[in-house]
Amino acid sequence: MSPRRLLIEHFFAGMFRSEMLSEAGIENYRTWLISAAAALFAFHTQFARLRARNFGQPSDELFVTAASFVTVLLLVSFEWQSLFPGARDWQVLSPLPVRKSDIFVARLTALGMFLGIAMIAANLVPSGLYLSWRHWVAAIGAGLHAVLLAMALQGLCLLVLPRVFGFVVQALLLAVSIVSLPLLLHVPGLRALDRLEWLPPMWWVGVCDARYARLADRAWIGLGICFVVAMVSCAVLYRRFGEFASPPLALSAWRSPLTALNRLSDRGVLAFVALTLARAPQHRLLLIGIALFGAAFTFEGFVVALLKSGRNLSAIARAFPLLLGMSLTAALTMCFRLPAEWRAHWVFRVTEDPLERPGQLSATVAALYFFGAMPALVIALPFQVAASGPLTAAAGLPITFGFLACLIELRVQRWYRIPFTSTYAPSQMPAAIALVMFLASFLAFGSFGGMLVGVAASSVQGFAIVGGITAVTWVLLRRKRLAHWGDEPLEFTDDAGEVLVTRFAPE
Amino acid sequence: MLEVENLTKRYRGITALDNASFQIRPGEILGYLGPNGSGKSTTVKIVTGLIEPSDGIVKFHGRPVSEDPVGFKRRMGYVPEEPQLYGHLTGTEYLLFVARLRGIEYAMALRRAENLMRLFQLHDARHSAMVSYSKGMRQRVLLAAAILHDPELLILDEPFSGLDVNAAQLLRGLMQVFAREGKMILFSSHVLEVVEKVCSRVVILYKGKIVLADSIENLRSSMAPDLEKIFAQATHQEDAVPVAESILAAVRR
Repeated sequence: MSPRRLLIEHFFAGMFRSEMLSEAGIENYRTWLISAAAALFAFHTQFARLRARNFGQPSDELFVTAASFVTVLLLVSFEWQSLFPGARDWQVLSPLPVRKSDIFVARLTALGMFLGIAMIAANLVPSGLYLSWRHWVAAIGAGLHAVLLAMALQGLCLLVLPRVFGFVVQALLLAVSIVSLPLLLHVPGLRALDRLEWLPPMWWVGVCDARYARLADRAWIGLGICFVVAMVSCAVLYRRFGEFASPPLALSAWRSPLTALNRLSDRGVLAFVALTLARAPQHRLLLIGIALFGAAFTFEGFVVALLKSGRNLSAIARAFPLLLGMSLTAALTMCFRLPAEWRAHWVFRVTEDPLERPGQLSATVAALYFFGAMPALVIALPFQVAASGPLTAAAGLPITFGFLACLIELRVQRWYRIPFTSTYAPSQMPAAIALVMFLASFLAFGSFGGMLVGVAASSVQGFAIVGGITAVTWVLLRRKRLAHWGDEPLEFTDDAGEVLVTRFAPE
Repeated sequence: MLEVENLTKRYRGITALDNASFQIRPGEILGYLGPNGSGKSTTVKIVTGLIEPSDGIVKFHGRPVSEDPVGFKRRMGYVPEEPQLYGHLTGTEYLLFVARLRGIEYAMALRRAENLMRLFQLHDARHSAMVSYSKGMRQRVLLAAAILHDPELLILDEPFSGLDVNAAQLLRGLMQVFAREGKMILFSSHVLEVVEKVCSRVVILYKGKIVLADSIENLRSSMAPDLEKIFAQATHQEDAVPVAESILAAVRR
């Protein structure tokens, strides 16, 4: 087998691998990833089949191109580090008798294979079978446009902008793609498409619909510009590969203010959590990605309320902190279950002390309040003030906080680990069921909780009743947790035999 | 005194450590030697409490460690074989974090962390994430983390790995000063010259069993003039030159 082919296989396999996880953790992660992709694919296919009955409206065509564009943008945001060869490739492969061109070609081929399979799989049935070949070309073109746009942006970040912009652009792309996901469901049936002509997916409608043929040129020109910038970036990176791939020792003169959290009496665990969330790129990405789902649903609510009459803006504003808080706490607990340097947790094991264990575990709860509930309240407050006035917003604040506090207590009822010290599967149940359950509880918490906050904010009696029930619930949940808090030894699940497996994984 | 009695560890039927017994007295540096896979790291991990033994007991000052593992860990410092630490933290943050985990009050922890960063010549990189540190710098951070609570027992598993000449000399001096202060040091290493210079006694493991345990003086007088030859005899090492010739022949065949 030629070195290039070996490298392609290596890079392609790397798309389904994470260095964060142990072997057993990767197995679970892959299974979860594949089943989540299958669930989304099934949904996409069914949705297109239903829409195909009265297909022919430009808005339906926009749905096809936008779905392709957004899905691929989401994928490349997660695979951001794989768009070009990086430092690890240089360090590992440059001492071997492998040509630089082989490394670049293999990296780009693996990326092309990964995204090609995703694009063809996602569009073959919806646009290929139910619609026409023109729709298929437009959908694939939109997906390709998203890839080249991301590559062009990353190339500019690597070559022109300071290093920190790389993460900023990645986070922005992730935000755009996630926030767009719920909005996609409203695209079929849209009438005023002329106002959306600045959107790249709309340009691709011009490729498959004669009524918008004037936009086709924009699609091809846009694709061409992204292609040229991406290829120029690739060529420059190729010439300066070693320089980019071996960064110098990054010296800093500043101490992080987060280090001061060490003062709190949890033996430094809260500071450790804060610093890891702030600095570990994969955890940060996961946190932002999942938290954005909460923001996306609220944003969708605001957009729909503004476009259509009959939707209550203040009800959406009331649900906003609940949705954001729930997605943030879910994101945080998921991050806590994924390791940062999982082999480094020996330091906790050689210092474990049963007397200090409850305090250390409480740092997890504090982190959920500090980085989950509080930011959600702070971010949502201006929207609530704008939607329902300062008094109503202020009245709803303690009730919203109470709901989030109850949610946090529910999440940590059985918690036996220091964050980031275990290799853990994202879920212990099949991915499709986990996704459906999360979405259902998410929407129920947002709508029902928002309604109760509305009741509490509308009268003193309502405030007293809802506030009282919330406070009693929180006290009971907390008491239940503290009854066994820290009794069990900490869990460090890093051995293959000890890791829980999903039902899809081999026992 | 640290006493290891009849320590055995079996992994799925394979015996990694077989009935190992030794002692370390206050003020003593014990060299713990053996070829790769002989059971050195297994012993170290059992003594530090990272893994459970299949059989045997570890005593500290006459009491089984299992009776009060937390009390034992408070008085022990450990440098692991691999420099596994949290790369996203800076050196100072890591030391501060370990100090807080060991229950040292914040102000004192910060003072010790900063002083140790300076003394281990890491001051310039004190605010940089350790992911950008060299292997030797990481090793120095681990050494600082192992001693910042002033332990009675120091367990060093290949501590010289990655250290430059100056840092290696510093570590050697540190071990001697610690021993002079009455502390115990379990020193697992492949660097026989250093073991010969700093250790009073050595234990040599081979295939999970202790094959030799005595003072260096006694071994010199009874077996061979230098530790390298003693080690080769104890571990049935073949003459390296014919083996090297066979290796060369194998890659040319």
